[in-house]
Amino acid sequence: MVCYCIAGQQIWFDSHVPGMLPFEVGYQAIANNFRPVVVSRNVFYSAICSMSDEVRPVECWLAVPGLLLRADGCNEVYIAEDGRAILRVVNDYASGEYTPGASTAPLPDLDRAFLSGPALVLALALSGVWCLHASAALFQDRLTAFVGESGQGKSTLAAYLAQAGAPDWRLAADDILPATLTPVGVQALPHFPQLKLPVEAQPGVTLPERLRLDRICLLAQADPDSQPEIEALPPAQAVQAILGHTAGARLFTPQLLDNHLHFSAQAAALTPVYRLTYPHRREILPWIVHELESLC
Amino acid sequence: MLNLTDTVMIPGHISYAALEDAAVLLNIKTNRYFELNEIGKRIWELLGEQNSLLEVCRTLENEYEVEAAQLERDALELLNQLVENGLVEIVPG
Repeated sequence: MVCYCIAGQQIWFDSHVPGMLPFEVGYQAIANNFRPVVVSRNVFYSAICSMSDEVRPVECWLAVPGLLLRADGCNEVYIAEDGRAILRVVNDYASGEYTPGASTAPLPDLDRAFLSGPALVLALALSGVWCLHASAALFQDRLTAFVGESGQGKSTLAAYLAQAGAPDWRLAADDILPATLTPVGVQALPHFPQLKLPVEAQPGVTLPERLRLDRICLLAQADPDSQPEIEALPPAQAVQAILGHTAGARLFTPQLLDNHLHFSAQAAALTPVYRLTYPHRREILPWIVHELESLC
Repeated sequence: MLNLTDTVMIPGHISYAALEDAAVLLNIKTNRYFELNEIGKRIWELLGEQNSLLEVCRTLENEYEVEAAQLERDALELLNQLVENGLVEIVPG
């Protein structure tokens, strides 16, 4: 059993997960003590999820006291009800028993993508941490998250800010930015494996475990000849920007959907949300940097 | 056919979040979100207090400068949309 501290949450896995090494905090060589779980007779719900750059249908089953995820070609995965364990299961078809954490098989690439993708995002949601599908960058300790549909420039903009284009900026997330509500506002939790980046280039590792999230920018592409524009979004659109850019939301249980709506509403009330519309031309980027810095 | 004397019941699978001048509804069964503007939010709140649509309109007439007939048409249109999207169930008056 291996314990990782991801987004401020200690989560146990049944084996080492490549890509999460910087977040490992404990190892237990002895067999785990998990008991078989009772899996519901009918699928709870199903959703299409992205894993390893491809989409696959994922089924969610009630597995008291937690959830069981199934995806074609992957080992079944049990998630504890508090999100503190993500374990492959071994099922005994004769008895119908499912035992979490009993698998000793090596971790294939697809299982790794399943564990560190949909399963991890769902586990964090169960503990009140929501994974924004966002890149993020820091300017003078002010954190800006960039959300948007695929191809709207999230990674490109964050990488530009963090590299030569803007020396005072620093990358905080490339693809996923976990966030949670606290009494002092919305906090980002950047200790999260950015799977598209190599282990040695994980931006969250050297950052504090918690950072105040100062603003969210919804990226939108404009016509090539138009001028860039940044505008504050009204509350309902701000909520929609957060709702629509949370990873794994299709896998949320009814209770999680309700919790997520209230998180999004409160986050939008506490954190300014802007729409940044700009043509994808490299010469525009310095203007964007200037505008973002003026917001800080 | 909806009537102004009808009241509504909000099913358990509807989640509601109030914003400053708007609100967001979630139908958990369909996983679809809906936005209410300021007046829609106020209508939703009043309907949730077991008011009939007629009572809702009378209250809104006092709160907004709006013609009664127009208000009733708009309220009925909103209620129709709420019913069509499974966000409320009608309790005939």
